[in-house]
Amino acid sequence: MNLLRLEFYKCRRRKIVLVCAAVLAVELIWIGAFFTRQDAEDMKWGWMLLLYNLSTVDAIVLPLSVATLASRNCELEHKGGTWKLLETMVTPVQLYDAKLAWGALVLAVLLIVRSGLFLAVGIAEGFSGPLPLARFGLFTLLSWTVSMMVYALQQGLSLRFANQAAALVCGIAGSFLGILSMLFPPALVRCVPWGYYGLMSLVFMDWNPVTRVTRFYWRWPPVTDVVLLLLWAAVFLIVGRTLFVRKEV
Amino acid sequence: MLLRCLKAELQKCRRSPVWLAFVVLPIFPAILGTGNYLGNLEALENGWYSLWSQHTLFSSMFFLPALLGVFCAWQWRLEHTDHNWNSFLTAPVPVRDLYGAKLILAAVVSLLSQGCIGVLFLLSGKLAGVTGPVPPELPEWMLCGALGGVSVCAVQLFFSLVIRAFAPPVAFGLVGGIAGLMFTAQGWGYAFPYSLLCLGMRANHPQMELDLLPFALSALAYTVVFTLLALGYLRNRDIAAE
Repeated sequence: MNLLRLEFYKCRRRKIVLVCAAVLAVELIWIGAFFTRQDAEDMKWGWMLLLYNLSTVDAIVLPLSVATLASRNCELEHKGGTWKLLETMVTPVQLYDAKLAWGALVLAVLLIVRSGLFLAVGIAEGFSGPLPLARFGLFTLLSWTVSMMVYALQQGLSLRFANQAAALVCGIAGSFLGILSMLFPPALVRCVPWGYYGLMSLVFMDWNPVTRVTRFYWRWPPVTDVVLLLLWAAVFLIVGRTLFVRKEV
Repeated sequence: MLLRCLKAELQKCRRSPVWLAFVVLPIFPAILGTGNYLGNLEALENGWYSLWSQHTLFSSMFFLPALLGVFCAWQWRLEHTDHNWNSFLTAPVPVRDLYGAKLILAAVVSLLSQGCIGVLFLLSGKLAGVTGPVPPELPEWMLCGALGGVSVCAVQLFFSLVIRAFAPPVAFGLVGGIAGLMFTAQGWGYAFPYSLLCLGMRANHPQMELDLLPFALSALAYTVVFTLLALGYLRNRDIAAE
């Protein structure tokens, strides 16, 4: 607990809030720009359209944002050369866990605020139908889980390599694969960690090539996908932590 | 003096794997673009031109700005670390040459990445069995793309100079790329540096006529303005070495 508090203390001037605000602003502007270009016919899908697009925007914006947050929190130890000092007081495992918990909390706050913001947008726009509070909650939880999986990967990289270029290039590749994975054959998407943003979407689109009608529908993410997601997270966590623990400081 | 600075910058790059990102990462869009092209042959009937649009669709908007951002951030990172600011600014060289060398190197990398994209484009076209002659405009697409890339580099170099951390300027590059997409969609592409990159490459619209004069003027203007800003910052700010 003390370690976690210290993580927040270390990051107090590192403009984490600014990074999070930028993420929110980008998502808000993107979705806003998207909705202004829809006609009344599309707008009747309201909440579904919003959640569908949010998962697409997530797949592009979040991988690099998560990489940035992880890099901000890990870079300072490399810069300050604090490893020797820290690891004489606590074990590397404790340190790793504290940093992961910091990421989990920051991402949770970011995503909860994000969901609140978009709920407000939906209400302000006057979307039809009942307020899908439960689905928004589940959506927040799912995007948090995917983000944590990516965070575990990014933290591993940021801790392993002092040069943050490695982690950031991975983040860029993630943003890129995240969006492109929506064009992949379904079996392949599951092999791309960043593809889970799209895979976990609660709304799917059905486009009929004959009638050219687009239809959205709710669905629950399949259990196998959730298990696979947790598996990916476990792999990144274990590999990242082992590499960090064994690293000579 | 500029030449010597350039040599020094090149020496700093020795053995650094940063170039690897520019070679490896464009392979993804190439494979995916080709796959997408082959999957939608009935809708994309314009041979090489359709293939180019598929290749550049995402890369010019999300990918290249952030990647150029990584290179620019990496260039300044060398100075931000290990007390290098002291030796950098006390070198008996005008700051404009120090900065110029970095900008030229970034421009070269921008050109190289375009070359890499071009080679991958030709390769995947041959592999996918695209018939017809290779579009004669290809060198122009690449050159204009590189020129747009230079203005992005100038902007990114400035931000990486001011923000002394690696990640935020890179994230800024991605945001810029997304904003560029919106500016292009609104028709204000010529007025925004990140749009110049995808306009120059004719991403999405390979047969679009580019207004060369406003394009070149805008690219030049952004490059000059951000270079002056960076030089002003270097001259007037006290750079405390970390």
